[in-house]
Amino acid sequence: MIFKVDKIRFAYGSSEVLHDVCFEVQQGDILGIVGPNGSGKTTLLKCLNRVLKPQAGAVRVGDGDVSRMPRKQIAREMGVVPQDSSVSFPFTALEIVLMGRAPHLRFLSGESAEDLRIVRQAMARAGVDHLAGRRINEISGGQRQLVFIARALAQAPRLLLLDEPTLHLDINHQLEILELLADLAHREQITTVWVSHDLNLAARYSDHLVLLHRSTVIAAGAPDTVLTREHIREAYGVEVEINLTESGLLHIMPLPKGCPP
Amino acid sequence: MAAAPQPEPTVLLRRRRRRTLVSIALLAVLLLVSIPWACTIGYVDIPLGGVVRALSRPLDSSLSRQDIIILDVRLPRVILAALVGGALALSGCTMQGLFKNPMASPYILGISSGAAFGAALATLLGGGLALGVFAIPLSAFLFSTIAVFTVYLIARRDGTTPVETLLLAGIAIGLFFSAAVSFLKYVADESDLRTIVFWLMGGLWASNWQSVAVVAAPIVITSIALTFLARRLNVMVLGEEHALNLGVNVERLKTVLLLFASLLASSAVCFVGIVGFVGLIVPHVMRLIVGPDHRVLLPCSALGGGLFLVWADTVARTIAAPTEVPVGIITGLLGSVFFVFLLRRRKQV
Repeated sequence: MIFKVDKIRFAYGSSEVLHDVCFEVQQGDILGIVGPNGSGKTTLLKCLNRVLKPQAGAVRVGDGDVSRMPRKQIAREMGVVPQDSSVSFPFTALEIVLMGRAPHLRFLSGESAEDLRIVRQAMARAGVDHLAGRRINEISGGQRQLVFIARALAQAPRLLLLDEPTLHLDINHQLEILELLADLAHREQITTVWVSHDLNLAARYSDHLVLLHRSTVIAAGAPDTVLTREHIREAYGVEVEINLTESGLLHIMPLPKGCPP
Repeated sequence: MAAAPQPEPTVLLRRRRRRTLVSIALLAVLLLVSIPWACTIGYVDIPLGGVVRALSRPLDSSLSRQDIIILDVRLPRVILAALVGGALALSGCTMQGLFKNPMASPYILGISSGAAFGAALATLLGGGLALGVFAIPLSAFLFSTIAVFTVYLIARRDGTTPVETLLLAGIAIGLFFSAAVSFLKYVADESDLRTIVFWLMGGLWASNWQSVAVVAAPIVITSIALTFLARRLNVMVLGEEHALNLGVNVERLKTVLLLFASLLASSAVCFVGIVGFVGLIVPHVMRLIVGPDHRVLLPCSALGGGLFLVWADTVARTIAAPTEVPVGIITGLLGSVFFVFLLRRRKQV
């Protein structure tokens, strides 16, 4: 199953946010979307599962055209972890994850034993089974993010979409979440698309990167070919130093303005 | 932070199911007991035996004075209180879910102001309408519906109806109709003014079997329909983007929920006037007791709202006997005191 985005265009009113954006992800790969603020990353993610309708272009999951799928089917194909995970009503973590079964339920039916089994499995996979009875507004931000990942897994999707899943989290939780995503993609073949602001983490945990700037893709491919000094200068207007660490990881260090590269 | 060991999800769910059944059954029994019980209380005290006798008397037997008080005065009033209270609480609960805001009430979209304008207009036009006793409720219902539709049309743009815009449009239309009511009050004569003011305070003194018959059908049917949408409402509470991500057709659901919640509120106020606080407080309290799952919360709010208004009205008609206090004053007093109590006790609601 190939996930393919073909020449997507999207505008809010007259201001164009995405212009002919294209990319392709093989099954079980992780694609990272990076780019400066306002470059259209979140909008792009929302276009993928038709929360926003692109004005032109196509999104395909295998042979399926997302623009023709009923909304419930889209929700069975793609699990989404949105940026904002605040909840103002005191649902328990279990109740939240159970909601992930909504796209699989018929009009008047409730969750079956099978649904519960899938939910338990998803919670165990995300490592939040011990939080089942806790209220979602009373657990930490990192735990809440993991609960929402469990909910996305309960949708039993072929694709996971995540908008800055590590935002506001400490490094321990950042690693926990990204290791989980890597494991889900490479072992369970759940294709993953995620948006990140952290270039180092994006490089380390993505098989491919897409660099957005001013509504278009200015570079795409393997992380070390996308995150070059030239590309970063063009997109962010910042000079950086790029090194390989002892363990062979890409390390990008922004330099102060006026400092010779 | 060392988390205490948590029970298995299956156990949690079984517990939840049991709590659901117990809460609904308990509230239903309380309401069913309260209806005849509230009938015993009043200017003339009638023992429970008398109430039971009046209810179970053969159809062809002659009516005693006591039977008439029970069957023609108190029983329809208590039943109307249960229906109106239930409708307001259910409507409020739906609005709170829809607006993701535990502070929302059934009147948030201008229903109360619209209804008040309708009632005031019918009062001023009086006999000219030739609709008799139904003039005020009909006009109140009509204008509350007009108010909600206007709000909806104002907020709708490009096939979407953002709740923030709905909220603001509701405030605007509410202010408009309130100003119009003020104008009607200003030009009304003494007796019309008195009628309007009493209507605005909310009271069940005009209840009879006719009013019960008229409002029962929309309230019962809408309540049942809403309960079927509870699972979807749960997802909406997380936010519209979450709901879309989980495959819910958000705009359609929102329109249906608004329609049902407005129909409930309009049906509730049209005969009895603006009874405040029931639709705000009851869902709130129920959420503290049974949690936020609307599959439990909606039926519990409906039953709890009925229960609350039956007893608030019993207080309203007995506290200053032989006259009575508008029930809106009682619900407002009880509601606000209780609310402050909740605010102080709970860290978060």
